[in-house]
This record gives sequence, C-alpha cells and structure tokens, in this order.
Amino acid sequence: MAPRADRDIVAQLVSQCRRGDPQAFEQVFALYRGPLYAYLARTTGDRHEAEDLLQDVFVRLVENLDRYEESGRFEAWVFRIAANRVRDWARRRKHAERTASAPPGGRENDGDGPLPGVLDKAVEAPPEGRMIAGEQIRQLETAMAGLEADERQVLVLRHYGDLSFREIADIMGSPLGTVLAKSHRALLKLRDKMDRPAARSDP
Amino acid sequence: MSACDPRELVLLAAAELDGAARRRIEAHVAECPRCAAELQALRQGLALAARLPAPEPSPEAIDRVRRAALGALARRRPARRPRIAILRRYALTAAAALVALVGWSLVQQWFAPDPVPPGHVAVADGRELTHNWDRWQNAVTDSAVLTEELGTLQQSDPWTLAEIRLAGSASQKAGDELQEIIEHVELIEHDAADGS
Repeated sequence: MAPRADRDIVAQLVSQCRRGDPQAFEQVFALYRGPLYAYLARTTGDRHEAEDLLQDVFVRLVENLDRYEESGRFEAWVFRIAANRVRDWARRRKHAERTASAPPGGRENDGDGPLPGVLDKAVEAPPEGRMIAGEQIRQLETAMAGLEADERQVLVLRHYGDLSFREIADIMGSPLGTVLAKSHRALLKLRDKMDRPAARSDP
Repeated sequence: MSACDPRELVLLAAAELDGAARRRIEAHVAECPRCAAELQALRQGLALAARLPAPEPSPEAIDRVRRAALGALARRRPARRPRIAILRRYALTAAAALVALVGWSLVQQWFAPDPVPPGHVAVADGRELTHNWDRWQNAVTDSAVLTEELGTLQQSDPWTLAEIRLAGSASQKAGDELQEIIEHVELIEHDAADGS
C-alpha cells in the first residue's frame, strides 16, 4: 500500500523535482515505485508489461510535473497517470486481439468497463509467484483475479494507492455511486470466495 | 432512520463517512440486522483485500525505469515564467522610464531660462529621427512594453535630446546606436539654430 507521505514533504519534493533535482526525484521514485508496480502488475497480470508501464508512468510523471495542481493529493495524480496508461494498454491489447481474429480462450471481456479485461491473465500467471507466502494468499490472489476487471480496478487502486473511493471515482471518470456499487459487489464476492475455498479444491 | 443503501455501507465500512452521515448510517445499521450483516461482510472483504501482497519489480527493471526517468528529468526545461509576471516586470521598467521622461520634460519647461530654441526637432526631421529610431529601439530596449510606450510618446511629440538620453539611460543599454542618434539630432538642432 502506498505510504501516506506527509503532504508538505511531498509538496517540497515535487517543487524540487520541477527544478530538475535528481535527489528529490530519487525520493519520489522510492516512495511510489513499489505501489505503482504492484498496481500495474495486478491490473495487467504480466510483470513484463507492468515493468514497461512503470517506466512509461515515471517518464510521464516527470514530463508533466508542471501540470500537477497542489489542490489534490499527489498520490491521486500519480495513480491517475498509471490508470490512464493501463487504459491505453488495455485498448491496444484488445485491438491486437481483434485484428488477430483469434481471441484467447477463457472468459469474454465485457468491454464496457473503463479497463476491460485487463486482469484475465492474472488467473493463469499471477505476477511474482515467488512472493506468494502460502495457500491462503494464493487463493486470495486467485479470487481477486477472478473478479470483473473494473471491480478489481477499484480494489487495487484503493489497496495499493491508498486512495479514497472519491479519488478512485475521479481517476476512473465514474460517478461515486457507480464505484461504490462495484466495490460493494467486489468485496462481497471476495469474502464469499475466500469463505469456502476448501469445498472447491476438494475432489 | 435511513433506507438500506449498500453504497453508504461501503463508505461506512471503509471509514470514509464523517459526522452526521456516519451517525445516520450507524443508527440505521443498529436497527437493521440485514445491513449489520452486510456491513460485517464488507469489512471482512476489505480486510481480505488489504492482505493482497505487493509484487516487486526486478532490480534490473528498477534500474532501467530510474535511468529513463532521470533522463526525462534532465531534459526537463524549467517551467516558463508566467506571462503575466514578465509583463509586470517590464511594465515597472516602462513606468519608471515614463515617469522619468515626463518629470525631466517638466523640469526643462519650468527652469529653461530661454524659451527659444525649444529643443524640439522639426516635423520633417522627425521622420528621419523615426527612421533611425527603429534601430535605436532594437539596440537599447529589450522590452516590448517599453518600446511600445516610448513609441507612442514619440508619435505624440517630437523628442528632445534630453529625453532621448534619459530614455537610453533608463534602458541601461545605450550603445553606439544611441550615440549615433544623439549626434544626428544635435546636427539637426544645430542646423535649425543656424537657420533661425
């Protein structure tokens, strides 16, 4: 989860970064690279894609620092960049799948959500499998990966970005009520799936 | 008493409700077993989501991303000074120059011992002055605002030598062109005095 960095310190770091201070950038990088990568890895389900997107996010972050307005939290601005990168990536991926006219097997993406189908690969290849501590965590990851894409999007933004539902609604460009409804469904599904994992895994 | 609203339950479970709204929903939950059970399930769901581990990027990826971002940082141009700030800075210079010009003209008029010659160049010679003035403006001013203001003043009234010297001094960039135009006007004035 993204650390709740002191707002004044972050404002100072941003100001120094705007003047091209590499040491200030190193601190920003250290603060946000972990949460951003976790978010990108969970949403793409692919560590290599997530690493490429991470680079894209940080380069755009640096290039657009002057556009950040201090009235909002820096974390929300940073994760908005990341969410936009993921959205573009999902569109490219969907377009590539269509033009290849050979859609992969598995669940069909609904295509209606802001981030359609971006997590489908997570079921097959959870990122950083070596990090999984135990069976329960593996089940949790599988349960998360089994949610609808936009339901997952809400939960991972909240978890890794430490964002409020209002900030998430703003990032996703959705009404707060819609985001809360998705979150409601996602949380209950998650609890239900984790409530009875043994019954499904037994022969 | 409030109707059952799953969205408000999510906000309550996530501790994102404050004050009156929170008290209202809590009061409802206290009397509605269904919402109470749902609130508990939502809290369990949030607790589960919070246990999701954070995958880490590889050290090679961290290094690559850092280098790319630092490269972008090095290419960053400093934020452009807001246009209004530039205008304000030059407007002050222009205002100071104008005040000095007007003040000096008044002093000359009040204390000039001899009203003749007035020190103004003739209208015909003013055209010649205008021709050279363009070069002078380019050489001694770096402010569009100052140039515009001085240009307006020049059109409304021919320049005196003192005014030109003062304007050049105000701009602090008097160079060969200024000296050239001063000599030119001196020549015009000299000819005018001889002719009178």
